Amino acid sequence: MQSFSGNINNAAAPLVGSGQGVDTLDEPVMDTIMRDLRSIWEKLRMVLIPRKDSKNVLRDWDLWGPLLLCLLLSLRLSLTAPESQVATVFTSIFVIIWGGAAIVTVNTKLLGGKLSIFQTICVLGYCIFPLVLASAVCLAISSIIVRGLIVAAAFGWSVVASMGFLNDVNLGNRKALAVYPMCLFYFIIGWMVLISRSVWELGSHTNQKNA
Amino acid sequence: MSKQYEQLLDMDEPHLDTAQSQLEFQNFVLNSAEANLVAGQVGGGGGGGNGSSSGSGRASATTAGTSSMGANNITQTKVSASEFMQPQQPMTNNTSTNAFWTLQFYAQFFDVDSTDVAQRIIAAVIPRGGFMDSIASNPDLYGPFWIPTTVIFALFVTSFIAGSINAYFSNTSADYVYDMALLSFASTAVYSYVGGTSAALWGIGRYFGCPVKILEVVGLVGYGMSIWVPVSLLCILPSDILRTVLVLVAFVLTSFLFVQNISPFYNNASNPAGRTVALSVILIANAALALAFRFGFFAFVHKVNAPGDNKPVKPTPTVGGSNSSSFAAHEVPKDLATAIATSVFNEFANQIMDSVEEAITTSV
Repeated sequence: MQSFSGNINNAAAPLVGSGQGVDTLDEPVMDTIMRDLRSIWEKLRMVLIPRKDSKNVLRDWDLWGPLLLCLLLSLRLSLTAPESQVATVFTSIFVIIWGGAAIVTVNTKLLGGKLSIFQTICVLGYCIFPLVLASAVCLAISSIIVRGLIVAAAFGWSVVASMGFLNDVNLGNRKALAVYPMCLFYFIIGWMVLISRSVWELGSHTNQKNA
Repeated sequence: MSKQYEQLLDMDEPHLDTAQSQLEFQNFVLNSAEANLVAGQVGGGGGGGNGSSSGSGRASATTAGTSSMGANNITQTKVSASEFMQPQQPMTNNTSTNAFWTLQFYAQFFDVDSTDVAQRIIAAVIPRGGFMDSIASNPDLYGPFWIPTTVIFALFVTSFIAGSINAYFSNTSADYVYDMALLSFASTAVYSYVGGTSAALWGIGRYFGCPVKILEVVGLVGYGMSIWVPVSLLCILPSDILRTVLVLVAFVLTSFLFVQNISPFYNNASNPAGRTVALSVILIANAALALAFRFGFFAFVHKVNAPGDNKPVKPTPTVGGSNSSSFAAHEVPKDLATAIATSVFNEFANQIMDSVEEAITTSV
């Protein structure tokens, strides 16, 4: 009678990424969180400084990054919104970002583009990052012209970044039809950033209410 | 025995010489006819070879050309890992094989190129006749969705700009703040205009026996809205007269376009009241939109707000700043919006009732 024995756990070659199996259960919580945060940060860097291999990084899509950015932007814009509209602004930005990303993705897919829905929503969400940075910067700037320049630059950056990722979707003659809604999406977000008030302007509005 | 097995399985040689192909997910799928049956698609897959006409991607879909012997053919297709998450179905233009709840069904309405859309927009802005005929062969939903959406955003943006210019010139010290309710008011108004007018025109056509295809009507109304984008851009200029003139021009152009394209359907109508009803619906809907434009979004006058008064004041023109220290935000005149809506609805309902009564009495 032969007996067979062996080791189920292959400790020799740990798999890359989240497929480590049993090992990730035993690791400290900090490791788990930091791994996800590092992955998010890696993708954000890809948006800021697009490189040749950036497309492969974004194939590993996740929606935490877009959610984080969306929350940051909604919080920032509702901070300086008029008092009666704080909740409306927060909700609107949230809905515009997620609804807009979904609609742009479905539109590209319907036009015949070959893309994966969640990957595209992930890309669109991450490419909001320049606009989030612009909104943070505009928190301290009250001159409309300077804000206009910053927001315009961020808008261009976002559009170029997302077009870089979505270039190989083979749309042929319909590229303009797919790019236009994307530009509209970033434009409306940029517009909301542009017309939001800075911290310096907050005071005048409250005075206005008391007068 | 093995020979029979080989005949049953029509496998391509897997080409496992490259690392890439070794890592590809080997996905065995049925050929298109059986896939249709299995997926339970409506219409029962008329005719075998309807797959994969539009683009190939990485999933090499099966065609009727594969050497198929016997009933059960399993063809091997390679799907890469990134497409594993969503099974890619080819976006075909065949309605009979796609259920209306799938995304592929709607792909047939987006089968337009950029030049097509541009041509249709120009044909709508400069009405030379024959718009419906030009879109009849390939009605699309791209224009009717994105043009009204553009109008909504254009309204929101230009309304804010016009308001802040107005605030700047009226020399108030307060800042002009935006009103998010304007965005929701704009979307409600524009989308209900497009949906309501198309549904009304289609319903009237069906009622009076001159049926119009719903997609063509939606295309007409959707593309007809393109004129409102440049109009809203031009309405930034701070002149009431200019705004009124612009809105009137847009009203005349869109009404002319609709009338020109809807009238031919009623040429052979048995009941002349049908044409009247349709034309009146067009005029009323366009007038309502024009009024909402002019007075809902671009009615900027300097408002005098007494301190502590938080009711939206009816706009009264005043000269100079006087004793008001606050310039209230341009609040959406909600009373005005509901007033317009109810009056339009009442007028519309009355017109319909009159014409229907007339139709019934004349036909009896």
